[in-house]
Amino acid sequence: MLVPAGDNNTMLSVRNLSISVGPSGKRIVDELNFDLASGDMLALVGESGSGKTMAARSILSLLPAPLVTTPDSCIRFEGRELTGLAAKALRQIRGAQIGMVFQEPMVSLNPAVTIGEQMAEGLRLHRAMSRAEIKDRSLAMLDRIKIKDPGKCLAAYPHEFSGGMRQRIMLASVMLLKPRLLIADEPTTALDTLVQRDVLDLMVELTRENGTAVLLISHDLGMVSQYVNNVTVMCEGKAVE
Amino acid sequence: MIGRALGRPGLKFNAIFGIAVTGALILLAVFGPWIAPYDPLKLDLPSRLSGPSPLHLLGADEFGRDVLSRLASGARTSAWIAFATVIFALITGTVFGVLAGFLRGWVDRAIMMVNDAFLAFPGLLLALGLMAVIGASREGIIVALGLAYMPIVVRVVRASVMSIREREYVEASRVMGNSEIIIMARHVLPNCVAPIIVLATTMFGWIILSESALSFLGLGVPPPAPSWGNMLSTARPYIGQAPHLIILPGLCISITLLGINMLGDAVRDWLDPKM
Amino acid sequence: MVRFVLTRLASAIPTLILVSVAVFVMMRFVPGDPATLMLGDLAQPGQVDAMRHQMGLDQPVVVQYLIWAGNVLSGDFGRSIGSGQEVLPLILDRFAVSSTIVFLAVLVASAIAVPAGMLAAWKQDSLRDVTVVATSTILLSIPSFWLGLMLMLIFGLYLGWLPVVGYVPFSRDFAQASLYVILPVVTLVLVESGPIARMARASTIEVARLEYITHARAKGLSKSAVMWRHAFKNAFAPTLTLIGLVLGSLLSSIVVIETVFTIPGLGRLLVDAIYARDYPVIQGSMLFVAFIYVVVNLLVDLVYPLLDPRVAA
Repeated sequence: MLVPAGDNNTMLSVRNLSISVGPSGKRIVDELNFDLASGDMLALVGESGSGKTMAARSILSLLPAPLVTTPDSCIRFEGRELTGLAAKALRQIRGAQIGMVFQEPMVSLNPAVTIGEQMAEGLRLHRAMSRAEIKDRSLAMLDRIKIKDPGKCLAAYPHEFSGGMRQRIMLASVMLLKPRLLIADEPTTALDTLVQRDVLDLMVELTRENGTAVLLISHDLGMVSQYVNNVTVMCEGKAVE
Repeated sequence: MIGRALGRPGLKFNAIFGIAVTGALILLAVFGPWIAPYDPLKLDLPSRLSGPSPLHLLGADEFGRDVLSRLASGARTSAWIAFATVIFALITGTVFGVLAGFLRGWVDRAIMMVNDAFLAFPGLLLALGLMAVIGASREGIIVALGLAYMPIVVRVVRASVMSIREREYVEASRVMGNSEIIIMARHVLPNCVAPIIVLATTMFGWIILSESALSFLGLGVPPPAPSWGNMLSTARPYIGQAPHLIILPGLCISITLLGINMLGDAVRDWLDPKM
Repeated sequence: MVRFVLTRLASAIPTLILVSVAVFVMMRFVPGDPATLMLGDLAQPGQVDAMRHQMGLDQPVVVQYLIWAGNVLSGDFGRSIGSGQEVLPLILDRFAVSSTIVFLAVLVASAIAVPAGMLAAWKQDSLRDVTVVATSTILLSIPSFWLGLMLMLIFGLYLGWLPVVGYVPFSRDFAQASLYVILPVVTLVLVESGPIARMARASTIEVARLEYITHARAKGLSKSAVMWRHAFKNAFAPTLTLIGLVLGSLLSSIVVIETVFTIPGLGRLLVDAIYARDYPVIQGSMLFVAFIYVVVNLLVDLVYPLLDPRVAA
């Protein structure tokens, strides 16, 4: 039985999303449904192991090896079906239209590549821009998120920054492309409580400025409810609320 | 698709091939003398350097000795030396490794200092030097290779002892008033078994290779007793006239090593799923 | 950075001292009296005592070690018992030959095996991966001396393309020299490619599992871009460490290979000295090879931070 799709304003509509270990294995996400309107915020909340991270990853087809979405899963983004999309078409959506921020800023930035390089990567790929333009944009963005000495920052490596700073940089590099949707997978879990608020505030500001919708994944219902009204709670792969 | 077909069952293929070859080596080592058609030392000058024939199934060497019999006898030599050497290296290495890891302090520092000095020699070189001191004989190889590979065992055992001795159950046992020796025997050693088994399998291959290299250099098993390495060495001058004397012993070493390496990979996959 | 280099340099000194002690102690256990060995069986007892005194063998062991170590530091490794030549020039001469071959082998083996291992890791369990893994496992199992003999048999004797044994210095005749080193170098390359490819594959797989790889993919980078720009770069540093180790095993293999192809290198010098019980030469070459090995590993450690910015900090 299909839950009817949302109205015209709906940007992301997920129906019957199930994720299993191998084509016929155990289901770690079971028939999940949610809608997200453009420019809106939705939180997916659940304990660790409830499948929320994998649900988020499946939107961009980034599930790790044995995990697959079942054939009747349906992920519709701006009217386009994302499941089963060809690799090339998928890559044009990743980063450009849907950005993603990960849980651990310590490990989600490549330690051997400079910040500048990693920020430029997305722009170079998705926007026709000259080197100078990319650099200007990156500098302006770093300035916007209040990094001291942005020029120096571009040449620096990730290990030279604290966790909070890295997550701000990560956020900046994703928002540089002004995606339509931002998936933030526990963006503040690895940070101190004080820094958490900073990063979340920054995330809300940046996404509001650009009209970007946010899918926030978190285990902390208390914190989430201060920012988002629309919450789906997950437990053992199922939506319970 | 091919990955599914070869990759996953590949694990099993490793294990089957490894067990088969290693098993064959052990059988050959034990029953070799009964399988061999001739005495490996018996001369038959008319057949000298002859190729495979009904008389000598795998040909005869430069003294007309039967190659098949010599290969069988060589398997016994290699397997026995490798086995004894692994045991020697494991016992000495485990003793020093456990002492270093458990007692720590100056004992650890002293042992590791000597150990690092040993490790500063590339593997075969240390064995060569020791062979120069001890002299070429079976016992000599066992001691020389045993001492050359001991430092690696010391390292591995010490590392696992170090990680285990901090665990809660060791602490608990200490709080209950058990002596260090009991703690070591009951808690620490059993937990070192997995890394030791993995290492022992790999080492068995290294030692067969090193022993054949030493014998090839004339610093291993002394002739006339056959070993795969010294068979290659004595056959080298006849490489043009009797290539089978070169091909066969080398093939024996390679297949044996391939089997042991595959067994080693399988054992590691089995005991240490991380790899 | 400077401090890192200095501490690492300083840490090599105790290792080198211990290595020299180990070599010295080992040679003390050589059966037979060196003075008697030096003079031959027909020496008079008085001559032997005089020789013992001249060689410092009547001094306490510690003093003997210090005298020897002092001499070694000033470049005096003693004289060969057999030929009476000075040991250090002899070693350096022979090392020039061995190092040429080892250097070429490391270069070619890394150039082939590192990309092969990384490409195999790119698509795990693909046909390419299975091929690389199987080939490297097989290569790992073939003893260098047998491989050398087989290549000699095929390319030297049957096909007659390449000279079978011997060596011509590059300085004398470059074309001839190249022909003579092909077989030994190819043998070493094949033997060492196995472990290098396996290591390169393992470290690439390790890296490919990390979060920043998923992040790079989430940006929309294609799989090849992710591999080139993110995975290989990070997998290279651990692979480099292995090349240091491979050099150690090459320094062992070269002894055997020089025997196979009758090349007058350091390995052959050592083996001949062992046959002849020429203990100053044994002592000198063992010390020299261990020294080279320690220095190479030191260099690898020093180059590492250039590839991995985290260590440099």
